[in-house]
Amino acid sequence: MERRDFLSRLGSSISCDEPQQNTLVQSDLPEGQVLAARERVDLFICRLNELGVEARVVSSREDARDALERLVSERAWSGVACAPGLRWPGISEKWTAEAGEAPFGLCEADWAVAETGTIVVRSSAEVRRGYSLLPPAVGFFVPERCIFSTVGDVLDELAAGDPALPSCISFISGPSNTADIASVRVVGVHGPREVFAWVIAEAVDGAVDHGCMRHEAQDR
Amino acid sequence: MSVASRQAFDARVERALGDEVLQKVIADGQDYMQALVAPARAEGEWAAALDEIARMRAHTLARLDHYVDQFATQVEEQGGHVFFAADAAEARRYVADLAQRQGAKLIVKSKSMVTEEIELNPALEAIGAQVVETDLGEFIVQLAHERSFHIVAPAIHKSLEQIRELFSKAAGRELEADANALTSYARGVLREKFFAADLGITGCNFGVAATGSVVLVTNEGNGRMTTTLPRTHVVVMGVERLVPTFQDLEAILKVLPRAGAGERITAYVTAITGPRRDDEADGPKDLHVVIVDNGRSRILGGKYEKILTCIRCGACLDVCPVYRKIGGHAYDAVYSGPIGAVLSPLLDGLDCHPELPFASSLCGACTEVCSARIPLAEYLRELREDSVESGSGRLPWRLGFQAFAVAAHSPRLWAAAEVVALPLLRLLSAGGAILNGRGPLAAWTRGREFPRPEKRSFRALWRRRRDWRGR
Repeated sequence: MERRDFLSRLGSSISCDEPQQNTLVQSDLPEGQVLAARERVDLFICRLNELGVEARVVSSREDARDALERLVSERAWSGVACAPGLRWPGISEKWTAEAGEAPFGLCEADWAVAETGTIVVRSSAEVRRGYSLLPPAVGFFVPERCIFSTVGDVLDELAAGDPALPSCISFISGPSNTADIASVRVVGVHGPREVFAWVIAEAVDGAVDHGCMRHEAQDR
Repeated sequence: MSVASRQAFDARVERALGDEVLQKVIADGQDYMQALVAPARAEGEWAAALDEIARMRAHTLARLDHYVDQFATQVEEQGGHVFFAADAAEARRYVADLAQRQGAKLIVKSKSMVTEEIELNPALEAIGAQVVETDLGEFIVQLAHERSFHIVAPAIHKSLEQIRELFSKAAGRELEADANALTSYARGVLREKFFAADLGITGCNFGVAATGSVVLVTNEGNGRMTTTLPRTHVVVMGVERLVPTFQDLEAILKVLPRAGAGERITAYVTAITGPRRDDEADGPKDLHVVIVDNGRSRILGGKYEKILTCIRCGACLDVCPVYRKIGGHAYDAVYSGPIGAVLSPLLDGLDCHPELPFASSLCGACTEVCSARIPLAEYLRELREDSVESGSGRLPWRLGFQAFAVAAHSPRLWAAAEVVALPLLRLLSAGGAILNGRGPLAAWTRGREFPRPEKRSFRALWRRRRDWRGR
């Protein structure tokens, strides 16, 4: 059907005679709890643990790298798939694995949400959608300053439209799961079975370029 | 309501009632969901969030043409294609033509009710494509050649053993009766399909008008796989599934996962905005959004408009006492339960589903839990009125109501009817109730007792009381 005809069919059914402009609905939702930085981290870790994510706070990016390298070594993972920007000097070539074949994928969170234990990753030229999806285990570096109190806070950032929306934004809360067989919860049906997170307590460094910088505004 | 249609419905109901395994599975499923969802409903902000959804969705519908226009413009600006489908046939043809043009042999689908509504799979199979449902529940019902049993949990009616048998048959070997093992088998099979697929089809939980984004709310990750691996992504969405901005998703993302699965949030919420950018290495290069009307503009602006605000959480199915007994398949419609009993006749016409408005006890539990505050029970009652007024009600039913209306308007006729009916009903009674009624009473007494009337009618008692007082 032609667009014009389709829209006019809709329009003829509508009784509203208000001007057809983008009227934002003023939300009646109670304001989500705004938490102090420390509370946000604590709640975030707590929620991640509830979701079955192995999460811990580290004091620096170097500590996060060390923890990850130990994990990779303990698990004898044959490769890691991650964005070039997350690779650091001294790591082996196996950190350039393809997402579809690697046993582990690594991403840096662009945002995170304390109340739900959610990690938000934006796709880009560097950050492939597959890194956080295809390997059976995935991990995330989460700079502390990227952690918001509520999902609504992240939606506000998206609605603000700055930076421009990428082709794919993934809100990730724990491992892939299902209860479609006899109402038994099973993890890892299509996506990762295991999820790890390292919350980096230090200030954001150059590796993160957006999102977090506005976060100061919500601190009280 | 034709006799054949009524009999077919009764037969489906009888089949469900007579299946002991099914009865237990449905009851367990409802109890499981109730236990999961109860804590969320007790939260203080719950009522405010439902009010917010109702208000925001009503606002969107009142300006739907504007928001659809804005959404389509944004999708196109981001490099996507938009097709406006007036009905199911147009939508099917567009997707089938696209698949054919692209030479798609293997198509993966993530769970989508609207694609079931437009019967997309048979159209794609007709052009020689293999269509694989990748939501685990949908995968199960596809293997069983059945319809979804529940909006959120398509295979909730299947026991572990039944699923084991289905998967074993597909695998060509005996699989273990264990949810983990069976899920693992499905993961292996479906992963191969994801990597080999030419085309991925998803629904759209919500489209964001301001940005042209398609938002998918999933737990399994099949939605992400479908929007990551195939070279083309086709979104099929009902025209009503828009929100103005990302901020308007807040209440929905709070309520939908809680009402649908008792979770604070689903494992994945994915926002797709256009195809992959030129410098990106994965994601579909081609994005097509098919916006489907298929009867929705008929509902818009009418007395049932609020049905279009539904967020498909499935909460009404989980509390409905009728669904608990008859299950999803007895409705013989894509949308089952209370939402289906209202939506299916509105989309397809009352003629197609004349019995559905009557598949309810009107207890109001659905209205009470509805995440979008849709007056489902009220709508069901109004649809019954429509059914009777349109003359599509059953003949004995219509004649009965007409006779009652005549008698109720005339005190004399009513008194005369009492003289005949009371002794007759008392005669049929065994003890305090009629257990095996005849004629019109038979349908009633098959499932419940009809109380024996008192010796004297209310009118007689009233007269006596008045006479006594007048002394």
